[in-house]
Amino acid sequence: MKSFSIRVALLALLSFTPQPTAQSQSFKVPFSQFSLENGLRVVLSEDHSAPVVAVAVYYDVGSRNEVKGRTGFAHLFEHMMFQGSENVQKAGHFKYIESNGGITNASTHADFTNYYQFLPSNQLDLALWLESDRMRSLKITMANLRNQKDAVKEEKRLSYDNQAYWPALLKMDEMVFRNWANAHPTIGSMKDLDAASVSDVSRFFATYYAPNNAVLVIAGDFDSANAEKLVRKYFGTIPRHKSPPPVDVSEPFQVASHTAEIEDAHAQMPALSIAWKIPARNSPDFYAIALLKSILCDGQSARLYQKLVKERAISLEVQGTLEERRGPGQVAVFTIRKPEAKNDDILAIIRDEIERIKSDGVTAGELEKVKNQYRLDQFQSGQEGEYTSLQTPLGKALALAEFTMFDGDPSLINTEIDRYLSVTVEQIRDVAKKYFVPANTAVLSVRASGVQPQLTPSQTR
Amino acid sequence: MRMIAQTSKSSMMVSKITSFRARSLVGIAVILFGYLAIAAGSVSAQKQRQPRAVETWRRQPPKPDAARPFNLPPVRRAKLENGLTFLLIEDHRSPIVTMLIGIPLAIEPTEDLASLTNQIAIAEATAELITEGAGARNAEQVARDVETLGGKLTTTANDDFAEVNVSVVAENAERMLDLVGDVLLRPTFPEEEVALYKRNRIQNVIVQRQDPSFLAGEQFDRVVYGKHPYAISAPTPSSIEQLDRNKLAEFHRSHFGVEKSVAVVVGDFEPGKLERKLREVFSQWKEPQKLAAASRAPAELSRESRRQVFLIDRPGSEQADFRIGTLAVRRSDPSYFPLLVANSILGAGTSSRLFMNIRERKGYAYDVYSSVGSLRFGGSFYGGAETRTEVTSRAINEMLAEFDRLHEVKVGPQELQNAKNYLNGLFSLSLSAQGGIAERMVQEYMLDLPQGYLESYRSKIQSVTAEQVQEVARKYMPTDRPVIVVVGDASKLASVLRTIGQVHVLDIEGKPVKGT
Repeated sequence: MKSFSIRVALLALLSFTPQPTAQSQSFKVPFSQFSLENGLRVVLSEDHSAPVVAVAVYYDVGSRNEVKGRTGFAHLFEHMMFQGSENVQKAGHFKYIESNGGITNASTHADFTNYYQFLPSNQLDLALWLESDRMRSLKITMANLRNQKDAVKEEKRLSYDNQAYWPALLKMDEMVFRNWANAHPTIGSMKDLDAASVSDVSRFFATYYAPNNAVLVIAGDFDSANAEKLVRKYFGTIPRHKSPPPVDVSEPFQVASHTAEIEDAHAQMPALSIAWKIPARNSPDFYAIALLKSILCDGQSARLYQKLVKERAISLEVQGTLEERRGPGQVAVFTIRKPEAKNDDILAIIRDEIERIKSDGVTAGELEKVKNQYRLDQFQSGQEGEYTSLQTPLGKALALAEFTMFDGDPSLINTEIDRYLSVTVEQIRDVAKKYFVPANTAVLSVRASGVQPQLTPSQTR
Repeated sequence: MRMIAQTSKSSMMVSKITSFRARSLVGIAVILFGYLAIAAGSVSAQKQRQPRAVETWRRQPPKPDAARPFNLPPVRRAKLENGLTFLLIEDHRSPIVTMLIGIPLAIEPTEDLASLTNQIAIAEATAELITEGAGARNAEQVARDVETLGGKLTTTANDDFAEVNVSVVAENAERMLDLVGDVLLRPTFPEEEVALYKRNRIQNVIVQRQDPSFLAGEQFDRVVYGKHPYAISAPTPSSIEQLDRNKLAEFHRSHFGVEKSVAVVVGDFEPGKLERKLREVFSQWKEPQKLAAASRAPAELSRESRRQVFLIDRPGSEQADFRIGTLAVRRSDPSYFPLLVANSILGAGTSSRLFMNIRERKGYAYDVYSSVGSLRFGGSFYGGAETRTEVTSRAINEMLAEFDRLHEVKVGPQELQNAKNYLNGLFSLSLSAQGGIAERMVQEYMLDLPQGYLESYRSKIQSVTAEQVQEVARKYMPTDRPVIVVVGDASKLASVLRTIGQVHVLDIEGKPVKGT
C-alpha cells in the first residue's frame, strides 16, 4: 500500500497532557471524601488535564417529597434558587458564572434535585461562594415567585403540553405507579403551581435545603487540600437543620391500571407505549432488566427494531426507556405506529419476543453486544449528552454526587459498570419471567387527533 | 449513574428531566470556538440587605486565582495520496475513540425549487442509507457488527456536507474502521431498504412537523433563503417518491469524493497503529470530488414595504413559537465574530439581555434566545421565544426593542468583556469531550475556514469592538423589516399580529391558507 505524509502541523503544545499509551481497561476516577460537622458530605476528584472545574450540589429532595395540592413545587423551588440570596442579586448567579466563562444549570427529578457549574478552574472560589450563599440565605420574595411561576408555566407548555406524546408519557406514570409519591408529574399542574405561596417556599427551603441533606462534589483542576479549606470556609458555618421527614415510595407489585387510551391533539401519527414496574436502581434485578431492555430496544440490531420497523414495517420508530429511580421505577417501550397498522399486531410482537426470552433466553452474542454498548455509553450518554458523561469533570461530578447521595459510596463511579457486565443469560431470563407479566404491564394507546395533511404523490411545493 | 438511552434515528428523546434551561452547552457549543483568558472578578455584587454581623467577607465575590493557560490539543494533520485529509488527536482521558468524517456535498444551484428539493432528497437518502447494507453485510449485519464492537455509527447530510459520526470503545477502534470503510466506500443500497426508507421518510416528515420549533425553523429558512438550497428543511413526498437505488448509487459515486473530505479521529488510540489502519482503509477511496458548478450565496431579501409576519396555523397550540431575524453572514465572513459577540450580549446564555428582560422581568417565556447560524455559503440570525398566546405581540415588541437598544446605544466595556469571556469559556468547556473537539476540526475544513482558524479564534473574539457590535446589530438585527415567523393558533393570533406587520397565514406545509 502506497501512502505518505505530506505535511504535519502541530497546533499548540501544552497542558492537554496525553499519556503515552492506550489504557482502555483501566479507567479510574480518583476521589477523596469528608464530611463537615453540619452534615454536608463532600467529594473531591482532581483532574489536571484541562484548566476547568465542575461544582455540583445535590439536594435529597424531588417531586416524590411533594404534598398533594403542590405538585411541581420541587421544580418551582429549583427556579427560586436562582432568584438571589443575601449577597447575590436576582439572577446574579447566572451573570457571575457566565461573565467568567462558565455555565450553570439545575434539574429536578422524582428523587433528587441538582445544581451545577462548569467553569475555568481559577474561579472555583466563585462557584463555592455562590452555592454556599444560596444554601444559607436564599432570598424569597413575592415578586420573584410570581415571575418564576410564569416562567415554569411556560416551561410546562413548551416541554409537555405543546409537544406530541408528552401528555401520554406523563399519563404512563399514573398507570404504572399506585403510590401518589411516584405517580404524580414532576412538572406539576397549572392549578398547583398557581397555589404555591411564599410561605410554602420558605418552609420547603427550611425542610430540605440543609447541609445535612446535601452532597457537594468538586471535580477538575484544583488542589484537594486547598479545596477542603475553601469548602470549610464557605459551608462550615451553615447550620444543620432537623432531618427532613422520610418519604414512603413503596409500591405493590401490580401496576395501577392495565390499559388506557389517550387523545393527542398535537400528534398526527398514533403511538403505543407499554410499561412494566421495576425495582429500585441498585437492586440486583435492576441490572438484568436494563440489559433486557437494551436487547429489545437499543440500536438498530435490537429485536424490536428489527421486528417492528424492519421486518413487519408497522412502526416508524421504537424507543426503550429505563426510568432509574431510588425506589420503584419503570421500563417502557414507546413506538410510533404506522396509521395502517394495528395496536394488537404491535402488542403481539412485543409479547412474543418477551415470551421467547422467557423460554429460550437471549444469545451470548446479544449479551456481549449490549454489555459493550454500556461500556461506551458511560462516556457518551450523560444527562445532557457527552458533556455530562464520564468524559468530562462535569459528568464525573454528577456521577460522584449521585453515588454518594443514593448509595453512600462514591467508588461506584468506578465499579457500577461491573454490575452490568456480570449479568448472565439466566438472570435475564429470570427477570423476564418475574417482571414482564400481565399483572405488571400497562398499555397506553395514543390516538392522533392532530390535523392530518393530505399525502398525495403529486404534492410539490 | 444514569445513562440516557439513545436509540439512533429516533426523532424524540424521552427522558423525564425537568431542567432549569433547556438549551445546554451541547447545543450552544456547536457554534462556538475560542478561548483566551478569564478576566479578573470584575462583576460587582449588589447589596440587598444588611449582612449578618459575622461573615461580612461574604458580601463581595471572591477574587479569582491566576488563570491557567488553556491550550489546544496537539493535532497531527496529514494527507493520503488520494487527497483525503486526516487529523489525529490523542486523548487518553476516556477509553473510547470518536471519529468524524466530513464529505462536502455539491447541490447544483437552480431557480427551480422542485429540482432543488429533489437533489436534497437524494443527498439525504444517500447519507442515511449507506449504513443499510455495505460490502458483504446486509443492513442488520452492519448494525449488529457496529453495536457488538461497542460502537455507534450514524450518517447524516446537512446543508453543506455529509457526515459519518462514529464512536467506539478504544480496543475496537481499528476493527470499527474496517466497517466504516465498507459503509463509506462500498454501500449496496438494497432495493427493499430503499423502498422502506421511502415509505418511512414520508411519515417521518409528518412527525417532524408535529414539533412547533421545527415548523418555525422551516418557515424561517424558507423565507430567508428563498431559492437557495438552505431554504429546504424537509423533502416533499414527491421528491421522496422519485428515489430509487440507481439514483442513490449514482449520487454516492459522483458526490462522495475524497479530495476535499476530512477524517478526524480523537481519542484513546496508539497513533502509529491507528494511522496505519486509516491509510489501509481509506487508500481505497478513489472517487474524485465533484465540485458544485457555481456554488453561490443566498440572494438578498427583497425589500418589502412593510414588516412581513408569516403565521403558521397550528390549531390548538398551547403557545406561540416566534422567530425574528434576517439573512446574515457565511462562516468565513469577517463580520462573523462581531455578530457572535453581539448575539451573546443580546440572547446567548442565561444572563443575556433577552433572558433578563423577557423571562426574568416579564415572565413571558421559559426560554428566550438568539442565534447565529453561519454556514458555508451564507447564514442567518434570529431571536426567538415560546410564549403563551395572549402575550405574543408584547413579547415580539420587547424583542424588537432589545434589537433597537443595540442599534442606538453602544455597549459598555464591562458588558462587552463579559460576553467575550462567556464565548471563550464555552470554547474551553466544549473541548472537554471528544465529540466537541472533532466537530470543530471538521467545521474548519467543511466551512472553508482558513487554516489556523482555531488558533486565532480567541484573539478574534477578543478584538471585537463596541463599534463593530453596533454596526452588525444595525445590519443583521433589523427592526424595520425583519422576517417574523410565528407558529401558533391563527384564530387567536392573526388579528393581534396585524399590529406588527402584514400577516400571511400558512398551513403547516407553508402553503397559504385560503381566505386570509
